[in-house]
Amino acid sequence: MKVRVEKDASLTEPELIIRTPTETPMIEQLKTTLEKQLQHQQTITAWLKESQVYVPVDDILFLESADRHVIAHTIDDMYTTHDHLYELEQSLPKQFIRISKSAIVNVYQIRSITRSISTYLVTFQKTNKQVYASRRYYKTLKTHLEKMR
Amino acid sequence: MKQQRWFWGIFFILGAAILVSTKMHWLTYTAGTFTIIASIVLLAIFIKSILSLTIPGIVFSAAFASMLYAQPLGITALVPWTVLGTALLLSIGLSLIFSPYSWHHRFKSHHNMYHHHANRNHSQWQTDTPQKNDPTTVNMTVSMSNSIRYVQSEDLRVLNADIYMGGAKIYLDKAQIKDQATMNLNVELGGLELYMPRDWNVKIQDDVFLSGIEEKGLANTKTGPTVTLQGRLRMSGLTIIYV
Repeated sequence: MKVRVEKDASLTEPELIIRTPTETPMIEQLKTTLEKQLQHQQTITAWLKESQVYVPVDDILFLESADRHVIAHTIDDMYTTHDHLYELEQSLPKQFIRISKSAIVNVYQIRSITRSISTYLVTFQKTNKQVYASRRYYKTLKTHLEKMR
Repeated sequence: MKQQRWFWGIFFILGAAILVSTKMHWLTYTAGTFTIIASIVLLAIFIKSILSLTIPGIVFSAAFASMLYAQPLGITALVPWTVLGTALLLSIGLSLIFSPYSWHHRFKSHHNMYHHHANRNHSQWQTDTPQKNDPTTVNMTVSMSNSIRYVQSEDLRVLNADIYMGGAKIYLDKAQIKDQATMNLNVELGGLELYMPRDWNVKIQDDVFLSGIEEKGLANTKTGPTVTLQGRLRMSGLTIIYV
């Protein structure tokens, strides 16, 4: 496989293109590895008490708006961000899916989804934190979960 | 609490007196033992409901009473489903109309009862307009829905949770209490889960009726700040999970 770098002044950010005659499992694997590698570098800027923290997006379980702030939940901590939820929804990698009017979830971290009458309770790995998904957003969440696994 | 014991005590003694007197035919009206006991209990619920302004309690105790005395009242044709249906519709309707007052009343009475003397700094409670961004106070109202709240106050003093026919989970593992805190929990036909740090010294003083309180999770060490849980649990479940 050939690897080369092309320069293009019209682009605003680097773009990776894999050119292949047929889509083989190896190509698919390469694509996911690259995507994962790139996501690893992404962080969001948030606050924990008085300190500014760069939280790796992979550590985030979910983001929730509460009291006019957006809180990013990791397994052990809660970080306050000064961004709006819709801005974060656009800037975060595509493993982050909106699950209700007030929450975005990292689908890689989901452990279970339990259905109750009107809502879906989402739980996460290695923590007792939970969040509700509303019925309106459940379908997109489900399709994403199926695609990701 | 004391007042309540008096109420129920007198009530049951009166009930015993009525039961014996009817069986001994001292009173003119005679009825079955079950009917008498049921009427006594229903009357008690009815009075309690009026005092606490619980509309479903008033309506349903009246409905069951009317079912007990369907024959003398001549409404045997309506028993039981029509009466129950009517009671359900009535209680929904009346609750919708009167519930703002009822909530308001409950809120106010609570604070006058428990808070005024306990916390002099909280004079804003009397005005019924709690400050929204006061980090020492957390308010949560859930009605016919489910909700999860993560609290991260650095100086939590008061938590007010009003839950009616719903489920709520409050995570307090990132909250800090400097001295002591009070939690006013009013849960009616619902469930409340509190995730608390294991070192909090939790004192449960809730007024419980047909409800269950469960404590689970890690062992509670009771070495930290004191947390008093008070309020009313009605046909509800309270679970405290120490983390």
